[in-house]
Amino acid sequence: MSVDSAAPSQSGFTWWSRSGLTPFSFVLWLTLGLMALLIIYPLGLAIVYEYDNIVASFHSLVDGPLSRTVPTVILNTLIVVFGATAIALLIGSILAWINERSDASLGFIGQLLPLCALIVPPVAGVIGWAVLLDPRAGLANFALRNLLEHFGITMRTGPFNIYTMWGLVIITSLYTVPYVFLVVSAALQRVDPAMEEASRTGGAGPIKTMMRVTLPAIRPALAASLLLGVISGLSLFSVPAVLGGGARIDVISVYIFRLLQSYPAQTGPAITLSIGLLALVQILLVLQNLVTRPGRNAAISGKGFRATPVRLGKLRWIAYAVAVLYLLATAVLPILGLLLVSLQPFWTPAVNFSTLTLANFSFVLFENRQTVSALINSVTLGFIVASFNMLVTGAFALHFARNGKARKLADILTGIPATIPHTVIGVAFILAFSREPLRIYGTTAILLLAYIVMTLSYAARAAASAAASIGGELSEASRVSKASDMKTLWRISLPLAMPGLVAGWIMVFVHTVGEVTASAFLSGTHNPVIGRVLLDLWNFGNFPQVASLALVITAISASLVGLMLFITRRSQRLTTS
Amino acid sequence: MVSAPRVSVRNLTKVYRTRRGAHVALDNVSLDIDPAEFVVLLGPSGCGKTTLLRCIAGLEEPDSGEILIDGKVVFSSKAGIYVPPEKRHLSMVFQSYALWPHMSVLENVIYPIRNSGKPQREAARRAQDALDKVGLGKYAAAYPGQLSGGQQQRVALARAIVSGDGLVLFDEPLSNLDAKVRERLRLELLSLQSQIGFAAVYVTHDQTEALALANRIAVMDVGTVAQIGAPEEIYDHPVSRYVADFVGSANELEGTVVGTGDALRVRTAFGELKSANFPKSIAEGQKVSVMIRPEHCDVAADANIDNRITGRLVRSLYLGAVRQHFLETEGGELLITTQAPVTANADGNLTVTCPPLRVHVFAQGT
Repeated sequence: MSVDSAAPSQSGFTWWSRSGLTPFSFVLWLTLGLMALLIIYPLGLAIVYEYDNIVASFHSLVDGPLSRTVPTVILNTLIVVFGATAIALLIGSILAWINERSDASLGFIGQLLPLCALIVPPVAGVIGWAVLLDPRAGLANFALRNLLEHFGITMRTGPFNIYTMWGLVIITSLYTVPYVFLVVSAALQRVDPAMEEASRTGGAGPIKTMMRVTLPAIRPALAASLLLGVISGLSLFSVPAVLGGGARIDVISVYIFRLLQSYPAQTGPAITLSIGLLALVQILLVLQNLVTRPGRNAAISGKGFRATPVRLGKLRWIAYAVAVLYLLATAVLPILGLLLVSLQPFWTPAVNFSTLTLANFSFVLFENRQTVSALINSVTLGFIVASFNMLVTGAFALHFARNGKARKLADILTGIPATIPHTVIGVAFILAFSREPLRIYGTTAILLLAYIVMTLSYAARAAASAAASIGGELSEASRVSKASDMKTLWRISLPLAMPGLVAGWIMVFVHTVGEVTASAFLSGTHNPVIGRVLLDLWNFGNFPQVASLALVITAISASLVGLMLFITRRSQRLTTS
Repeated sequence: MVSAPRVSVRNLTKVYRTRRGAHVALDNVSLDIDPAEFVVLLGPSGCGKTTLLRCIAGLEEPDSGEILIDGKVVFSSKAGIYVPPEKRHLSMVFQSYALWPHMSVLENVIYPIRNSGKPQREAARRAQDALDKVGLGKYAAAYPGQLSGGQQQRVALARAIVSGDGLVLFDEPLSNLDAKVRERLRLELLSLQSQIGFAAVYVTHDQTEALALANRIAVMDVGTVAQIGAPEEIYDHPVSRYVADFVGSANELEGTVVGTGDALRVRTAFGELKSANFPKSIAEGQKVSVMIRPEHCDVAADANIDNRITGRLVRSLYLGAVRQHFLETEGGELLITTQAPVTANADGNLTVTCPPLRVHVFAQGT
């Protein structure tokens, strides 16, 4: 009978839910439709408005003044993105394998790894690394130089320089690792360890088994995380914006930004390059769908397994070291760097502990009008965006939990923003909303709309998985227990989905507060937000303030992510104990 | 005076339209369930039994037909009536227990009474009463996650009986439990039912459970009721090969009728068999299916008994309560069960007999 009860996608509870819409579901569809419009409308409008400029820009890109710089920019972008993704793929896969398959299971660290980029917003992380490895004033460089002096090696700068292609690649890769880790871990969880055990009993060693059995089985996941890494690398703005200036290396996202910031703004080339970027990402997505087409990975079954861990012996300590090193690199070291700079009156590598002061914190938190209003704006926006998105997507997911067709359509709509690089959203919003009928450029409203669009996919995914974790029989049991549709939603579905919805809310909030790309494009002196103000302060050289502000948002993010871990763990205990 | 049926299902049809075409889950099904009657819907997966139950509950909407509960129309395609589940005055027990993990045991049981508008104090008293009835009175403050499977299903049972509805629906409630607990709960369920007197509609694919629980069994076959009747009737007088096959195990063979009368004479691979258990419509010369239950074969003592089948005893399995024996005859394999051990003769052969009343004959294709 399970076949029967799974099939009824079109059967509703009442006449009207089958033949038409309820007021409630109508409002839901309308809201979702408007949000989808918010994705397509600005881009379409920008193309229509700028049509002449786009055509003209072809000329300037092919043999005009831009034709000399653009190829270099594209080459730089490719090196950074593919280099970072390759490194992330290696580190992320190794960490995932250690966590899922070896006896060096990482435990709590394994849970933290995918959250690193949330706990420490990338913009804070990259600033942290910049203050550590600046060739002259870098704190770590200074300490290393002092150390080397004992061995008779004297240097004025270095030994490391973060403002290089290597710096860009490695720091970008740090923030791509979580994507790879998540995708590969999920794939490893679904590969039946019996396949590997069969190989082991067939006489193949652990390495050979990994190369011949495990890796081929998760090839689709590797390809998927490669593409995910490339897409996220293309949209990552904070790393090249902070490091690229000193390195004199432009990548495409920062280049587009500067085209729009120059006077007069070169809107034509900016949008042409944006469309190219968008097209590239879409092509990559099609490739990804081809690679991960179902049927190609028949070896993977849906059951959950616990593998017999591979015994690493002494190698286990290397495994732990890799994980700890990663945590140090993404979180601990940059935070330390930020802390040391934020407590100094001005940035100097020779830390004088007698002059440490909290003045910078009190300045950015209470006195500096720009940072104070940026903090207020960002937190308010994060609150509104997270609440709105989770409310809409949560109501949708719960209301249509039994309606497969509606869910599929909503999945497609809410999935679109994830495939659009934030740079493109920024450009489209600037061009579409700087004139009538919706002249909102320079206001908080434009940021609100942009953030809603950009975080819609996260929200929808969190809401869908929260709703999916509630068995259908739980709400049916409520219906036969004399509770109406709405009462069931309120008393049963909503409380059960709440931990997942709260986790989603926190994710969206943290993403919004730490957002840099669209913030750089859309925020200004009248509507400052943290992402923009951090970049400005960095470029003006207000380093102790930058460090303090970066630490403030790190503290906000970290405590909220901690809360999220607490909530999800508690709810797991409640339902499985 | 005959009381009115508690549930009347009339000409119910439900079709699922999927991408691969239409699947008829219920095909013009009609069924009456009396107050205090225990009706079991029995059938293999995909036969429509759960769909029928969910249609009665109001969790699915049929395409056409009528459903009446206590004489009140709760669904009618003609009149355009659909009463949602919460207004049908019935309760349901699910296979997955479907207890709400965020509510305590007592809160779970109070929920339905509170929804029907009773004050909190009375609701709490009745909930505690229902919990006492299922023997879980002292677990009121516990959460479902802290209970065993059997205890969870007892809570679900308490939740189903607490509002005193005259109708309780059961969707394979015992199939997630292990054998011992299942048998124990079966007994408790029956005593609750006779104590409270609700009508029960119970879906299962387990024939033993159906035979043990039912006043009447409705055997279902792809969207239709193949036979409905008391357990003995279903078991001893199945109307079709399908029913005979699904309820109990069976030796099946084909044959041709060579003589009619009080007893039918059928030529089969086992030789000529006499049957006193056949539909009236069977005529001479007709091709028929013949069915003999393993437990209805006796090891032959008297040489004069009809329906003698001889075969080589290939293997005997000791199953505890009974013994199973496989006989290889010229006409094919025959399975019999006995209480006592059997011994073959010097050739390794064994002769068994089957009384004509126990030889079922069906027209072919049923």
